[in-house]
Amino acid sequence: MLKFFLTRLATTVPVLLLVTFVVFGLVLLIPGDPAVTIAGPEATVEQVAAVRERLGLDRPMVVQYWDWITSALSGDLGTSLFTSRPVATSIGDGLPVTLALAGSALVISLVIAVPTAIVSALRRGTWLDRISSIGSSLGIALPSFWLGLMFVLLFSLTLGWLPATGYVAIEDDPGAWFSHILLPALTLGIAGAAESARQLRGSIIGVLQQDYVRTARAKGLRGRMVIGKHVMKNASVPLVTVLGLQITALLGGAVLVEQIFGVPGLGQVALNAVTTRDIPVIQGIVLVAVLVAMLSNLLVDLTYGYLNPKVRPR
Amino acid sequence: MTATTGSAGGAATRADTGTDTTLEVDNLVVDVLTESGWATVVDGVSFDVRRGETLGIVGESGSGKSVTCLSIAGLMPPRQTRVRADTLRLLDHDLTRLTPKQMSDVRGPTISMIFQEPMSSLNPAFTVGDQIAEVLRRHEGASRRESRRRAVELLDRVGVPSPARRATQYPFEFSGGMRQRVMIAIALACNPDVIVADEPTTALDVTVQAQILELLREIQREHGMSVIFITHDLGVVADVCDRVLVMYAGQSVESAGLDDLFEDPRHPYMEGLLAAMPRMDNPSEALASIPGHPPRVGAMPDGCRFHPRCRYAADACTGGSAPALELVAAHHTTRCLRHAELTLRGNP
Repeated sequence: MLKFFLTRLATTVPVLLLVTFVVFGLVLLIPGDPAVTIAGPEATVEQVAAVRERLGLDRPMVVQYWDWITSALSGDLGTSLFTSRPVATSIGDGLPVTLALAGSALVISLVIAVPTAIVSALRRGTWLDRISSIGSSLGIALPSFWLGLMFVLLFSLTLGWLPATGYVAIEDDPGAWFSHILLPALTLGIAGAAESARQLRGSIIGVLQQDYVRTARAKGLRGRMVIGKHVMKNASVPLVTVLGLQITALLGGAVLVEQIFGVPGLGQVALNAVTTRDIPVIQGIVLVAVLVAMLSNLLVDLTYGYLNPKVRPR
Repeated sequence: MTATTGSAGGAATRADTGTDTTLEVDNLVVDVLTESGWATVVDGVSFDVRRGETLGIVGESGSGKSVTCLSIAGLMPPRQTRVRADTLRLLDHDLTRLTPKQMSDVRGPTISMIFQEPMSSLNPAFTVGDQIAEVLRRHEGASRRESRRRAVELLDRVGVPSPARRATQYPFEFSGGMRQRVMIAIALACNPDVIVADEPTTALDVTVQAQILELLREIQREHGMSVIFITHDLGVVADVCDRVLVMYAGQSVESAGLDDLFEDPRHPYMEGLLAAMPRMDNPSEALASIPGHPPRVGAMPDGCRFHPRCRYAADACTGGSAPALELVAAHHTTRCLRHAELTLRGNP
């Protein structure tokens, strides 16, 4: 398993290198000259040139890339063209919040999806199965901004159980953190829950028909053990694939949900950077997002190795 | 067989039934839910299995032999199956009265199964050792370490070479014959009183078949357990069985001791099966086959269910309800109306 992990880790290096090219190349792809934007519409040609020189935009691409990659490796992602805050600081503030939100959403979606899938697979064709099937259709179809508003209306404004907006760091007050993150995480996680429940229900039904499940029953194992051990380990493989895809989707979805609930995550930073063409910030955020995506893919692959011994190298 | 009846002590629960019968099945009826409603797939099957003997259940695919055994073990899908019986007794357990939970306590230590498909009957996601060890943990409360040690012993017992290393491997690293040995180790783990072997050698090469049969025989000799051997291969039956139950279209059509059945079949279906079996003493003789196909579930013919394919069928065979089982000799029954007039050919 360790060898598998190291091999898999080594394969990420070339991918990572490629990603840095692409992220750096963003500068070239975005229309308009950042120096012009920063200098402002009233600036003279000389002023624009001065800005360009200050930012190093006049030097050869290779030199610019080298500078960028070496400082990025040492944790310096440059400074924002507009706020003059270090990009690393902005990301360092927003990323934990976004990760907490996306992580909670993932946990919530699993907490909903796994029991639902098991019950509807075991009670296939009954009213319970039909209700959960309708529920997951709704979960996939309803847009998160609408769901979020409905949750705020119901749980915050009508029932007054949970705060409508804001965020408290978990290290400051875990209880307040939980009550603040619950609604945004639910909003963000519900589509994933619906998708996972569907996928898992299907694969459980498939696994239940396997001969080895009959063997497990023939051994006299209790139902809990048959389902929890013999069925779930095999049925989880497609779920893990779906989860891997969902992690990146959650990061994207977080941008919207953060807006709805006023959560100070990376979404706000990203939105500002894109609208103002703040290249260093965009680069930093894309880099971080790609890293998270790669990390989750790595996790998915390692989980495959755990679930299916055939994919482990021997 | 010496009957140790009525004595006190640990063995009393097993002996106090007064006979050496381990499994008693009387009038077993199994209905399954098909697309066109409930259909009876096992219709009034009765038999018993004595301690240490091997009962063969023979029939074509679809004759209900596997369903019979899966129903006894409570392994048919509950919502799509109805199982009824006048008697279903396994030692001192009345299986008709057990809850699913109590039934799961019986499976493993009292009755266990070996299935036909060694390729798919083991879980691909767990090591072979773990799949044996979990039976011991479940039924005997063995610790992880203890159960693992005994799993290795069991692998050794069923003839898997370098068992300690093999126990840590996964099923896909085993050949078909080795996997079937693992299945046998699982079935054997809690020393059951009855092992049901459902076509255990059908999917294997002929040489491996012989090895597995030999292993089963050896284990049975050692532990004195009863074996129900489901097969469609009369060669295997002749090899391992003491008594045979012949099934056709969900009913038992003949049952007898092995020699009686082969020398003196009393049902035309059994005669047909014997004629379809290659003979060692006259290999040049052309093999006969039984014309036609077994009836489909839900479309059973009137009268004797075999009559559309029977060369001896008379008018009396074609109408009314199915003929009753008749005792034609000691321990020999047949479901043929004309058994007294016919002289059927055996294959001794």
